[in-house]
Amino acid sequence: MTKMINKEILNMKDIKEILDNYTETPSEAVWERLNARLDTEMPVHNRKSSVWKWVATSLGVIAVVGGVMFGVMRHNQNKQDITAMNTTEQTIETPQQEPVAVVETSEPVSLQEAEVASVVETPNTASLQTNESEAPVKGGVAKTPSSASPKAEAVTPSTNVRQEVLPPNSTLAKQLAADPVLRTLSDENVEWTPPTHLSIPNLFTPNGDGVNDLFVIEGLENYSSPKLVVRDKNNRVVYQSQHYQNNWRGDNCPDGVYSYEITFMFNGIESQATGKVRIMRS
Amino acid sequence: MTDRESDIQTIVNGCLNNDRLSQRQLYDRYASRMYVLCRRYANSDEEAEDMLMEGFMQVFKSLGTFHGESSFYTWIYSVMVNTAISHYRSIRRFRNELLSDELNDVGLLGEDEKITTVLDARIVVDTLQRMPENYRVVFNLHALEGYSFAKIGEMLGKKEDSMRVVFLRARKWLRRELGDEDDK
Repeated sequence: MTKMINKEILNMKDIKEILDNYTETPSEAVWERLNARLDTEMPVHNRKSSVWKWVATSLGVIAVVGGVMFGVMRHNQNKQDITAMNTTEQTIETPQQEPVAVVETSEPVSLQEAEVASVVETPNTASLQTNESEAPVKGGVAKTPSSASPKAEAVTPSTNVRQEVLPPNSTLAKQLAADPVLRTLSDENVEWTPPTHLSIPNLFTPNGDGVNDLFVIEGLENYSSPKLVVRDKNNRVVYQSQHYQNNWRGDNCPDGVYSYEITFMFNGIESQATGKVRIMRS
Repeated sequence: MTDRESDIQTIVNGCLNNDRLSQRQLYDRYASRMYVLCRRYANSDEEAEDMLMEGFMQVFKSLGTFHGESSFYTWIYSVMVNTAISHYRSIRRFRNELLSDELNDVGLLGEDEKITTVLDARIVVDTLQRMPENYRVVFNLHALEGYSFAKIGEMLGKKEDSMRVVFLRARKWLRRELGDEDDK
């Protein structure tokens, strides 16, 4: 059953070797507890479901279908939704006034989510592209991102546009959370990750005036081991950190546009956010 | 142990559909290997079982993000290690015990110190479970998971050099526990 090793020299490699392929069976209780948790957190909907589970599931389906319809509506009638979107946005996310561009980094987990995501995200993707191309505008005043983004359009334009990056797997959660009607419908039936998203600026001004001197990614503290790599126009790495702590002040980097790559872990899954940021000292 | 890819893919697909039978198959297939991993990080068998359950919950929930870039074993292994570390961090066990004077002890141990012993894996795992927990996490991550000290420091929010020192102390502790009489 166990591997016997007689070693003259015990080094760490030996320990590894001893433990490689060694297995122990956990007690059956582990599966039973796991099974119980799966029942509550990921209920099976095709067999032996209680009435309540059926109710919960159908509400979930209604929410998803509603999400698709809502997405289509939003796509067609941007303006009408602006007010609702903004108020919700502020209650559940960082209370900031800047226009917001939402980027989903995760792959939707199910087909249903995929449908919702593709419909609802169309405008957002467009707005991100616009942000990137607008970042280098002289004077650094980013215009209101494209009219395709309903959220951005509704807020007073400012110079600082932040990219919002959600944690993985929260595509659907985010959409449910953002919509007041769906939210009440789905509160108890759909599990959603709290929006501990990243908010990444597209501009900072490291001129020592104490305002916006650092490249600060809000929400970064919620993730383990965030890495940051910044490259200049020629794709040379000008800054990197294996554990970024919101402390890059653009030292030795002339004013201009740089591209960043943020890698972070969330629940064991690695995700990445990329984009452009402008350094503007005056 | 190798996993035939098509085989595991079928099970994974079943799990993605939230099929309880596939979930059970996946569990059966990996639980005993993952349990040893959890035991290495835990204070007790009960805690290891908690970790194992938590880890599998995480696996089932985030299975959609597995796209076959690595082998499934590698993926599930890293999810488990991450679960173990979050577990460790969540109960805030890591005390700042390492004082600067401990740095002076490090020189006492050479890389090739000898120990003569007959070991079996069970004893090693049991011994690891008794290891002081701040030693244990660093020892596991470096000696067994193969992470660099820099990476470990980053994972635990500690300095790289401290991690090296903790590791050396852990190794010293382990050698003593495993019966190296000469290690004074």
